[in-house]
Amino acid sequence: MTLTLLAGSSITAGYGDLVAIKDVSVDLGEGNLLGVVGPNGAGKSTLLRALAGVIPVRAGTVSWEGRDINALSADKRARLGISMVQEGRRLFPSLSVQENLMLGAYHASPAERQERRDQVVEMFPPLGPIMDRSASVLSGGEQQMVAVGRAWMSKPRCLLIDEPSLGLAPIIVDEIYKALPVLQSAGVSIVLVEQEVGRVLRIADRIVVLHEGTVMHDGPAEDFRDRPDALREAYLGIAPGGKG
Amino acid sequence: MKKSPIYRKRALALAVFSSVGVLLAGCGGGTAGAGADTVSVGLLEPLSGPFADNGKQARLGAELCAKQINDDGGIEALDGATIELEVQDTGAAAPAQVANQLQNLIQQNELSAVIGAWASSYTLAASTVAEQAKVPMVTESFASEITARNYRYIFKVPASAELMGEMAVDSVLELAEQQQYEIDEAAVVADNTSAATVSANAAADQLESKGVNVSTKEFFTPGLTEGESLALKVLSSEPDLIFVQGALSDMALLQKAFRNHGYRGPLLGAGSGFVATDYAKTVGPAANGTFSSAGWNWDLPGEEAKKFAEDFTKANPEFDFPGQEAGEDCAAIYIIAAALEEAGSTDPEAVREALSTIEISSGPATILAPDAVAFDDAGNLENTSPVIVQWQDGQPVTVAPEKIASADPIPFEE
Amino acid sequence: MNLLLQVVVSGTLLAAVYYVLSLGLNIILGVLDIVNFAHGAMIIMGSYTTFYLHRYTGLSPWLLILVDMVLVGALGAVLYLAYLRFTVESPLVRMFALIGFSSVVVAAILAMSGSNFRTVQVGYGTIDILGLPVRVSQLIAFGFALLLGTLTILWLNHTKVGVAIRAVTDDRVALRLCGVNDQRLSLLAFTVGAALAGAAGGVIATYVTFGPDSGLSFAIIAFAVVILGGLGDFAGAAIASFIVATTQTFVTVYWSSALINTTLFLLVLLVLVLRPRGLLGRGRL
Repeated sequence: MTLTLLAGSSITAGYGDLVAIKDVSVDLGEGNLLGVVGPNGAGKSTLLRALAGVIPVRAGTVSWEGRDINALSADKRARLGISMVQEGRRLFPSLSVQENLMLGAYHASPAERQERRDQVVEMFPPLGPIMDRSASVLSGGEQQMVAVGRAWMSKPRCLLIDEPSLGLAPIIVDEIYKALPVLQSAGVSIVLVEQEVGRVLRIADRIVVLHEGTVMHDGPAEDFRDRPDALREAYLGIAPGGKG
Repeated sequence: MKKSPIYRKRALALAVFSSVGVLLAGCGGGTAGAGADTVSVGLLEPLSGPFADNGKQARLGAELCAKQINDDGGIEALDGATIELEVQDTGAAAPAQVANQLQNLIQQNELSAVIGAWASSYTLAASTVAEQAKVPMVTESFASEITARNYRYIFKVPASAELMGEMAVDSVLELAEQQQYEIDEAAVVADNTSAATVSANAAADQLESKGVNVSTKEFFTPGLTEGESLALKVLSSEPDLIFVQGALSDMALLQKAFRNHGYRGPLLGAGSGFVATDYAKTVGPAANGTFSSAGWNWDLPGEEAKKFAEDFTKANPEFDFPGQEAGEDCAAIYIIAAALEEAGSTDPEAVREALSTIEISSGPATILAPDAVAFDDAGNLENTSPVIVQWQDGQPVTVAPEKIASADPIPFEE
Repeated sequence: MNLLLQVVVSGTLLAAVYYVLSLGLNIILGVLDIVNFAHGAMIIMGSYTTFYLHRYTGLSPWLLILVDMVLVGALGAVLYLAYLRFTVESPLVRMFALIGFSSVVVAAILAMSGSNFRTVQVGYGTIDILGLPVRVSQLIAFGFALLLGTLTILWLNHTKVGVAIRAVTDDRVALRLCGVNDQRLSLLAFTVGAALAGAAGGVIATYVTFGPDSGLSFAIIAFAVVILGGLGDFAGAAIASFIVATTQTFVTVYWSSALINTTLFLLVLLVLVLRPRGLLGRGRL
């Protein structure tokens, strides 16, 4: 049994009057890749944001290595080693690619920063020649590479990735997905949120299905690895009139 | 608008102070028991805001002379009643608000007369209230409209703005001619507020009527952020004389720029800034030689004027000389005191009657009009004449008209 | 011809002063996206600080610019900590807070110093440049503009803190996820912006006569420069300063000084319509 790195136990969170997730428990084992799938509006992004500290939890506990971190702000959690790639990439459009990456390693020494920058280029070779380009003019794929790269720059122990394939051509998505096992083998634990289950099942260790803010299924990914349709049916079936 | 809170606070503080003053005075009168009473005279002046320096001079002058009168036994005809000033700060209020301030002052005090309100726009508004309340108002404002409305309760001590402008131009041209300094070309620079444009255009007309070519007339928006370009433009017509009017801050910028670009010729200023006590301090060396007209100057001949200037600087050592408003308001207090003696009553109606027929030929009241103090039917002080001053070594000295001049002008330079 | 040369020379020298006026605003408005209605008040605080310290210590007004920066910067920090940080989500409340702050400053100066206009006399005389008289103090001001401008640009582009500050208004959440405390950065940027406004006050104290509410006309210039140059674009602002200063000088000399503000306003309007990202097209929208 692996040690639990990041866990949410019975957490409830939302925005204003809306409760987006209710009584959700997940845990991410050290070195694991946890896939979180579910239809649009199931509360996947909310779960990630609550784990990262972008929004507060209204009930329940987020813990890091067994320690309650509910009171820690997002920047403090980032410094613990929790890094997040938000949906839509969310780069800093005023800054260049290089500057975007460097901000990822804000607290590192200049030498470390340089070293990790080189690792990012190794991971995503297309970024090499466009380091000085403004982030506001990048293609979607380039943006996603910078976003994942920026998260890597902070030398995270845990990476939360929200819908990396959204709006990208399949060939680019392949590129991104190839990087994830590399990150995992470098010791990073990953929570990967996707709407599409196929790719996630192929690389995840564990899979959680969210529906209408609650956990519908939580189990080893290998149960469904060879039959993603079964999983799809499992939650599409209980989501009549869902996104479809 | 954004300034109003502090002004209100100050006005409140003043109100509190002055009412404490009234209380104390009341007690004093009671214990002395000689039947001596007080006569209330309102003093409505800008004591905060952009005109505070001028208002402060007015207040210091009025206070000094009220004290002198009181120390000399008060108003004899009223059994030695003393003059009590009820001070109201106008702040930087709009004219309509100043009218309200006077309304309140009249309602809260039994005023025999009121002095104020320095700015012509304030006086125009406030005098309507005085007229309706039938309280005589003595003003140190210049504008001739003030006495052109057939009001019965307004009395104006300085000469009119038009006369001042005209005389200033004539005197400077005359002084220049005496020194064989030729003035063929003149420039006029003023900010584009209505008061400044009116007097600048009047000056330009007057110059042209004397055969001087005015090729540059420049009206700028107040609040200059630099003076160089304006100076370049004005100097490009190579004037022999520059007429300037505007706020002191803009004038300081401009005058420095004129000097910086090599202009050494005469500058003629108009407006209160040029006779403000801190004019030279603000403008610095470039102030030297600037001409201006004034309603009154501290160095005028005559024992009374000399004595007032000495008393003033003794009482207020932070000033080297009393400002124009100090002299005007001191005289205003003496004129009101004389009217009270004449009327033998504190009734404002009786005081107005006395003012309209008064004739004073000696005493401090005459520092404004050396021959005799008397008002015409419209309420203008007769025999009063503007004086032309020039700044020399940090002080304004009278250089014209010749019979009252205390010094020669600094030699004109090209 | 000689006049034209003079116009160009004095326009250039003036541009430097205008650039200094715009630096603090360019950080607070251009980078932090706070419409700083207190910019004029911050400038004038610097001017008064220089005036009084110069009067009572006799220190060089150029040296006192450093004191202005520390003092006005510290006040900016207090203002940010005490109020502005609670208004990130409500620009309207923030606007009133800043307007309120500036009326308090003006009122406080009025109460302490009166409405007298103040001048800091700097000697140094004039020297000839291309046969034209130029005040040495103007040259020193020019040097200060270059120095402060260069330092600001270096700080924002080549230090990690500066880069992070430029990212604050892009995406506060993303910045937090990078482990950066965005509130602390905003505080720092606001403080530096206020300090630079204080420095500008010190610089203008050496060449204009000012009263408690003189800040407004300088703030208007600063806003024009920042908008023309593009929000947050410091090189653009340098060009904009030059354009504003020479336009002002040309309009005054060859047309009428009464039209300066109208011309400036039209210029800003034109740029907003044709180049909403500023002259160089690199500013924030």
